[in-house]
Amino acid sequence: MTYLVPQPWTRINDEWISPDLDCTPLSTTLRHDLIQGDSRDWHQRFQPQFYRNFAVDIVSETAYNYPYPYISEKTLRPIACKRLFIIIGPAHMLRLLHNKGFETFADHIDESYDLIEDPNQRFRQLQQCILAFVSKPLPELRDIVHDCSDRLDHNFRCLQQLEQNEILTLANL
Amino acid sequence: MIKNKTLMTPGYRQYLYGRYDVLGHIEFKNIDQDWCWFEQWLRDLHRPRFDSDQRIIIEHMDTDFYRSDLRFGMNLRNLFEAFRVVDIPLFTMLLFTNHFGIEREVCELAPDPRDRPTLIETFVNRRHVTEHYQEISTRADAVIMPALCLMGGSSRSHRYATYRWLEQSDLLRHVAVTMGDSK
Repeated sequence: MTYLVPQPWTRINDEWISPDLDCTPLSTTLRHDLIQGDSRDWHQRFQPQFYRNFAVDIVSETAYNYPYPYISEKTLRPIACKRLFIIIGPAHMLRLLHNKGFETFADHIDESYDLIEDPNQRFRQLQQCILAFVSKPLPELRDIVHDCSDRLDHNFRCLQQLEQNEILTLANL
Repeated sequence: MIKNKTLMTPGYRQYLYGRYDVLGHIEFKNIDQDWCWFEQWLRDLHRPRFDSDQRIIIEHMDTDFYRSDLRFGMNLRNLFEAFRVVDIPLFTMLLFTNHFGIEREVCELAPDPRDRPTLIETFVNRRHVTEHYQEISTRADAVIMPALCLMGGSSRSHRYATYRWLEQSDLLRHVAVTMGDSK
């Protein structure tokens, strides 16, 4: 019997390169001044204080060109920090979050990117979505965060109760 | 050699160990680069007969490799192959996975419906679902910049594409980024 061996071994299905985009790697590390803290600290890792300074987290998930939604701590961090989010990840991430009881922000963010399975088209839609949101003036963004506060609180509670609810569902099967 | 600890939360562990007679429990990263080692690990769990409530838990929380000519992930296929090589029925496998919809692949790899793994699809694990969450205020008035984008950690083409686009569109004044810095 034989085993299949992926070559090269990168632990990720990361073959997506759009012909229209510059994907040139960076040779240096970057860190904006507002982003402070040490991710090795348990609390700062999941609820960093700097999140309060931003209206939306543009989540860069582990996988992008992938056949399943792939939710890691990167997507759950803005939920824990009570902020809006746009996810650069596989298709149907928001649908999965909705199925788990989370609410998203279609009244303020164009979330149509989530339905697009083609990775190139999805990226183009994400660009439009990000551009439209981050170009809004700060007072309007503060109003949006304020307007979404009930949803942000709901999502936080949903995250806190997620494990318990899933196990209860399993036990009742 | 087991290098990676299991990621299952205490709550899930308590529930599954109460419901099943768990013969073994392992995280995928320990096995997907050394299938011969995994075969031996499985051989140690082998017995002449398996009861219907006995399970071997495989935590499948990392990305797989997909090729256009295969209808399943390469590592998932290897996992099923190892069970067959060691002659352990597939129904003993409990796949604890964050791949929602992977039943399609499982049915492909285990065509007999009487001998299929138990699937538990969840993204809850010890990496991010934590009792340490503290209630915080939404604090809309604290917003001083539109967005952040944390792209620390591993190199990914979609992260480079995002950064280059933000840079070339003059959006880095609106979006605070990290890149290649996981701290």
